[in-house]
Amino acid sequence: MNALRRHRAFTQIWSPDRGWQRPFTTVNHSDLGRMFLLAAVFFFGVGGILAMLIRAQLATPRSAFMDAEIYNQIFTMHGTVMMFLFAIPLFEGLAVYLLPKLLGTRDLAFPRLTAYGFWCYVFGGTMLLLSLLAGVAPDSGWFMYPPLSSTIGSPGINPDFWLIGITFVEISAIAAAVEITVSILKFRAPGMSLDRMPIFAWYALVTALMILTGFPPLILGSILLELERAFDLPFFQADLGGDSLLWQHLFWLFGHPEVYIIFLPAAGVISTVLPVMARTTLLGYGWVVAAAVALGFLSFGLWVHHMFTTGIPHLGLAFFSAASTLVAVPTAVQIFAWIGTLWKGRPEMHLPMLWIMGFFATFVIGGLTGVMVAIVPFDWQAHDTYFIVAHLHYVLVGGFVFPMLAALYYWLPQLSGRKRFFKLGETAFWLVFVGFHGTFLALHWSGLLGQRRRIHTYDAGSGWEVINLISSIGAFVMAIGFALVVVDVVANMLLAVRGSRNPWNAGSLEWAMPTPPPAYNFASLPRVASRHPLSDDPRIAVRIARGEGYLATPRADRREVLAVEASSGEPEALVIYPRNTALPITMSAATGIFFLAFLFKLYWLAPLAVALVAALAWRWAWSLGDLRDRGPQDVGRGERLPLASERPGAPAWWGSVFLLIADATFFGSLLFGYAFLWTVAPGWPPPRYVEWTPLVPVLSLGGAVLASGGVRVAEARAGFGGTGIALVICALGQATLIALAAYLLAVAPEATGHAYGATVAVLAGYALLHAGLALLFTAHALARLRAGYISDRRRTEIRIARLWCDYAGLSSVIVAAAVLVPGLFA
Amino acid sequence: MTDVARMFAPLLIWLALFSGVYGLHGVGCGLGWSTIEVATWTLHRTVLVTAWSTAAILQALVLAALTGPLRSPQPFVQGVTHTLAVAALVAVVWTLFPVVFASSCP
Amino acid sequence: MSTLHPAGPAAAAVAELWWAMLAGAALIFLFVMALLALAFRRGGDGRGAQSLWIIGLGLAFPLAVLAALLLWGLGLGERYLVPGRDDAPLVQAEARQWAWSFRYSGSSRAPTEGILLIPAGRPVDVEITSADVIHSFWVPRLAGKLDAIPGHTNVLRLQADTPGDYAGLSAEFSGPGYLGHRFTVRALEADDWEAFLAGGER
Repeated sequence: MNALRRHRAFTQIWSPDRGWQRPFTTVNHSDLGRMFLLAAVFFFGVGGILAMLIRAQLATPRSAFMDAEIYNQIFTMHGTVMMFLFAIPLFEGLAVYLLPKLLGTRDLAFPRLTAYGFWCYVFGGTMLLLSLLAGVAPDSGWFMYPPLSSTIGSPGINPDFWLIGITFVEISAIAAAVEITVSILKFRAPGMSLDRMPIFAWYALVTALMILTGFPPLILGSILLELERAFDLPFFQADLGGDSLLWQHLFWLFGHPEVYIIFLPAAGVISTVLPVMARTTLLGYGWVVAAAVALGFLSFGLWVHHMFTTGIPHLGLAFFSAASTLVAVPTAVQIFAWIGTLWKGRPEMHLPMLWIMGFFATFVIGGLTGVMVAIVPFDWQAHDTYFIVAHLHYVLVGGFVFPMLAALYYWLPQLSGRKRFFKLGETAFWLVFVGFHGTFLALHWSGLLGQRRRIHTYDAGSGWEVINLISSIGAFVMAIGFALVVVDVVANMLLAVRGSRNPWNAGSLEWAMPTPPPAYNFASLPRVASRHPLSDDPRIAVRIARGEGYLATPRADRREVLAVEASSGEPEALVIYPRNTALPITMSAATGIFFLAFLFKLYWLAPLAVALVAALAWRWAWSLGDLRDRGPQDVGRGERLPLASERPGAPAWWGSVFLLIADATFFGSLLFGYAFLWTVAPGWPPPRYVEWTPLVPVLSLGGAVLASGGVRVAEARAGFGGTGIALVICALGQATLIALAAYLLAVAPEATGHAYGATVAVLAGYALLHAGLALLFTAHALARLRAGYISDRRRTEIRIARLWCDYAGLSSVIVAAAVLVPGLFA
Repeated sequence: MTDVARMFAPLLIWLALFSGVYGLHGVGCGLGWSTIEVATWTLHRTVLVTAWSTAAILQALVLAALTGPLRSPQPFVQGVTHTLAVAALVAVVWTLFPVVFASSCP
Repeated sequence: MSTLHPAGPAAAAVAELWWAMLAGAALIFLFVMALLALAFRRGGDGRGAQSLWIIGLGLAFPLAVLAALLLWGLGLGERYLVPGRDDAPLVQAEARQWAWSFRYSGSSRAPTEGILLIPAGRPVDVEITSADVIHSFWVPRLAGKLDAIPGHTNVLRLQADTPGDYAGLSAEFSGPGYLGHRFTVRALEADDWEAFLAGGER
């Protein structure tokens, strides 16, 4: 088969649908990556307009442009849109588009999940946009502290849009994170061992794991606050055993990792683009990997530095001050590795490099002011002033927006296949750069002079008038700059000439394919032997197209990729991907109905939506798999590999593992919140505790043993007799756990009376949900068994059910213990 | 996957120890340990310094294990693991040393 | 209301720290920019010295600077941020949307609205509480800020060197009335303070 025939055949197999259905049924990562990027840029525009409104209001003292009520919605939405609807989705879009190409494979691990995540983002973002247009946008600040954001401070619907809309969007982030993690670990070109992975993949892996562990505390906090607002469960009310500080801990446990989730991908871009611009390789690849991992972990130990002024004792603050200074070290390692790379190379000032220089000049300032506010006494003056506003914009714009613009210009030839013709980009850079510093540099000073955050105006004679006027003019200049970037990109995409395939002479695989990229990326999967396969062999693109790699032969309409061993990159299984489908958008809409039910207080709709989602998920899972063992398959180059479903460690199993890691973080946050309220909140002990009864340990341990034991027997007996009975026993175990949860709900003190009762209700609800989920997975495995999908080779469904059964059992036992422990102590 | 676990383990352990000591600090305040005297220190400080020392020893043991019996055959993985294990030990010492002198709950 | 025009020992110590940090940060920034500029002048030979860039500049240099800064900051914190060390007068500040009331426990003095009177030249401990949402007690020229959190009492040590009026601000966003949520701290001479406590005019 020649290259052209191969291209046509693979295009036919991998293409999204034609016509208007394409965006709604596509599961192709290039499509979805572009859709994510486009939506993120749209929301950047929305956030930018909100920013212009803020600066218009603050340009002059005692401005009558906006009153406080409107201003409070505007600044809250500016932060919310930028953090949740622009920054994270932009990373998702870049990762979704780029990772399979960088890693030498044809798509991400779970193509339908990518689509589901995208639509959750769009629907959730639309909810927030509608609130803004309707004038009921959230107005308690982007971090929404109760009691201001709870019923007493905000009786209207405004915070509910935030709590519900953002949680919906977070599902998108969790989905993307699971997918990115499994993709990087299991879906790479053969021979791409960990030390041969492109550096961006390391950063994306760390970022994805941070999302999995950093977002759940916020999801928990949002659920608790919404339960307080909707049903009067007093988690944050001090007079009923709650504490508003609990929200702050949960929020910042998310919030601090969030900003590193935003920075790390940008650092990954710098680590990728800067060496290419300097015509050399990255200095200290191993050190940079270590620095990225260190940054990821250390960032989870900083959260209290957002709470330095809340009255925590100095020793407690000192831990976080020390950690907040330490985190500058891995950051410095990367900065100096980059500068060292420039020194060892021969750098050229192309447009991506210009933006990288902008990054250095800006982010370094932001990092330095960050170290300043890590010092507690200084933070006690700077906190909640414009010093912090200036700092955060320096690190976020300097550390994320500028590198992403470098990324845009760097990968634009890959995405569009065109060579940049119009040179508006340089002018746009200078407008943005000068405008940015004009906007924010002097705001450090006005903050130290006493200008507080979030005030909607200020008096003449305060000493800040000139600074604010200059800031607003700078913002105007910056906005023009960004608009010019858009014009430049659109013009170059539509009107420029065709470009060469690898204009930057880069060494990574995304440049070893036709540009714009075909739906299948690689006509055959290359074996790689180094970190820079394209530099080693400049003709590799031709060899890939000629079918010299793996999976060069299109076969029976199947979308085929290889799964590899995580460390060595040796291929271990053949994976068949799903075709185009509208299931993701339908399921996203069903999920949306669940959230809307809470937003509009139509609670009867919620269980219906849950049932619909469960049914769709069942259908989703059912569409894969085989009714017979297929045995080893020919994967090209004379090698044969089993199908992923016919061996342990299937990608879907890993997907469940990482989802359960996120789930466990949620549970851990719940237990932390419980312990926090018990030990720190005023107003304890509650009127009564749940009393010890032997029924509780019997039900919890008995249920867990039955479930975990039953499913293990089922897995061992798969393909022989007795699997069905074992699964039924497992299901009985889950029914027992459901009974336990129901019992705890029944004997818990009134949830609206004290935070203890409210927490017990949430803990029992958590156990109930997970027993129910495990039951669903078990029932699914049983149904698959009955239908003939299970054999002694094809056991993935049972293995996945085992994960959920074990988790449900363990969490139920912990819930039971946690509910009883305070009563035993008392 | 074990190689990935090796690289991530040291700092994950630091995070658990750090959170544990911070939590212990909070629990101790709640239980009134800062009002009880033990030699020249309060019970609170004694417990926390003990916890810090234990944490440092644990982290050192992790470093020893990951550079000894649990080392990875792959040089790159081993290099990164070693660096991160040292970093985690530095982190335990650096982020928790205030237990020795800083004031806590009255 | 400027932190850079301190009128009390805590604010003065922080202002001194700020100027030192600003100078240090400016030097580091210029150093990094110079390294970048020089990178474009040189023609690299493709060999990079990891020990210089990574170990020297990436690890040793920041660790040294940060260690010094951290120790200075923790020392400052121990000195100025920890209240209740001696028998300083105790006053209470209660915040609500959008006003401040002040009480003077240890005297029979009636509460004051919107203005807190303290003796000049000696430390005062302020017990800060809230009646509704989270607020924050901040007198920029005298000391850092401490939040007023419902259900908690936070204590801030405040000291004004000389008698006078000092602007106070609530520094935690609290809704539409946040802008005007301010107060004044008036430091009195010793005699005036005694007279005030006994129930005299302010």
